[in-house]
Amino acid sequence: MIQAIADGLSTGAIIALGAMGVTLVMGILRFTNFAHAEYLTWGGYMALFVLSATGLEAGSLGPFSLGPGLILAMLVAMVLTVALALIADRLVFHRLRGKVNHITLVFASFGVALIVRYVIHLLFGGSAQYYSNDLRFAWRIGDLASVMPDQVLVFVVTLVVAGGLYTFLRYSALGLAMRAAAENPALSAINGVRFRTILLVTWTIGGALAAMSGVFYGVTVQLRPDVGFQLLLPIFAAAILGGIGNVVGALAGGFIVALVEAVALLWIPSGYKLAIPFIVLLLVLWLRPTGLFRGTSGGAK
Amino acid sequence: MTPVLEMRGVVGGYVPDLPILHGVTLHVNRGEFVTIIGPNGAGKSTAMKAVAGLVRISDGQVLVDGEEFTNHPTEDMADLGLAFVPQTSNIFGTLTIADNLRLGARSLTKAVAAERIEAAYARFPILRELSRSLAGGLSGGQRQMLAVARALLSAPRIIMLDEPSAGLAPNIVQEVFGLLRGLADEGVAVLMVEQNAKSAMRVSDRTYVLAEGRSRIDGTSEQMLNDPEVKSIYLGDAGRKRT
Repeated sequence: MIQAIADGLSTGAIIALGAMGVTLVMGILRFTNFAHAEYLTWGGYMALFVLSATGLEAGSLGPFSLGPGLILAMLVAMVLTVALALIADRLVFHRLRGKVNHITLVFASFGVALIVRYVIHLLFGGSAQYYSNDLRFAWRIGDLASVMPDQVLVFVVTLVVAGGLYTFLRYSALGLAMRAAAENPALSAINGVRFRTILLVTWTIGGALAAMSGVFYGVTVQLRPDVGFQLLLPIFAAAILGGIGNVVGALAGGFIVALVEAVALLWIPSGYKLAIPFIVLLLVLWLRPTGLFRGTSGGAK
Repeated sequence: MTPVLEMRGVVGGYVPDLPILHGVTLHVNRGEFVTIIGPNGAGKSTAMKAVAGLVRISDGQVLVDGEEFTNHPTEDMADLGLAFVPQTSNIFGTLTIADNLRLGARSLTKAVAAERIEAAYARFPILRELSRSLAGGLSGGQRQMLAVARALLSAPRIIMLDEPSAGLAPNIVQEVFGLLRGLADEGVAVLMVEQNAKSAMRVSDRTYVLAEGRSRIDGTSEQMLNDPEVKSIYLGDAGRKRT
């Protein structure tokens, strides 16, 4: 059980990073972007691309795999993922926004997701890849469990990032403008809030978090072109569970989904793994349709 | 004198080729309180939204202090000294009252913002008391106060209000109208759309009647209150039995 909880917290951090981006886009830009999970995969592979293109070693930092080389590659991957998100918005979503209904936008995002997934497949192949082949030793928690140092690092970094994002939204002028635009775009424009700025910042945050999540997945698991597809459902379940637009809710939602999944797998066959986030999502929608942390139809907290 | 706001034969609507406004012409001078009245569907709110850039103008002109403002981006309004208080959803209910005011003062320097927010609290003491509460919990009158307070933070040349009396108790309506009269006396140009026509005309300087998207009649509010046509058609006096 302790081992399942430890694994759940690590996976939950990765899901939470994706869910925080999804929830911001859903809350502020008011559309469900199913391509978001593919941005995670893109981010993970872009870091791999930077390492192979520059010949940099991923390196290590004490017991952690996230060495200077991989940190640099991750930063570049974050920029490239933000660029992908902005290009997809400019070429697809921007042309449709305000002119078509919500469902059309959702289907357009499915299209973008498929394009991104198969471009990755084409460029990097379908087999699993790793940033480093170095062996790392697990930390033992008595006789109860063993955790990889990278899992602990991912968990801690995610908490710090979530805290930073919450502080930004809660206390900064730009964060206030984002929350206002999320609730009422027309009224925020009347107050001088520029939608283009909000759009840019939202995609920047969402893209950067997605890349970070993808790199963390590559560090703690492996890189495969279907990573986004595997994480899509847990990420959306976490975002909805936490309440749309609620960053802290998405963080908690990520951990809840992953913990339920990890603990449930102690009793049920792993083949049913993908069904678990669905069940959690259905339960929450049944009991609290606005999410556990009071989300909104449009909003950001 | 150049009007602060002028609409010249404005045509426009929400959907291209389906105009709601068919030629709205009006002006508001500095320190003047102007009311727009008219039947439902006359285009009163749409006229204000057209000035605010929320409705596309296909013909005609909007001028602010004599300068072209037709189809200007809504985001520029506050910086150019135009404030608009829509009829509904005119506050951010998920933000605190303090954050609503912070948002209204976002383009100001910290010192000026602090000074104006303090002035807003002095004008509306209840907002100071409730500053940390979510604005969504305010009563109708308090919401209007917050909406007006936020609109005034940018020290606008003109403030436009779409039915500020909607849903308010009569004594609160008088309070809001009194506040707007005071603003006009301080030199702000006030343009208000109102269904509560008689009360609005009693406090305003001039009145326009809009019908079917066109400016039909205008004059001083006093003249209009006594105009038989306005009285019978737009003030609901036709056929009323005297008791």
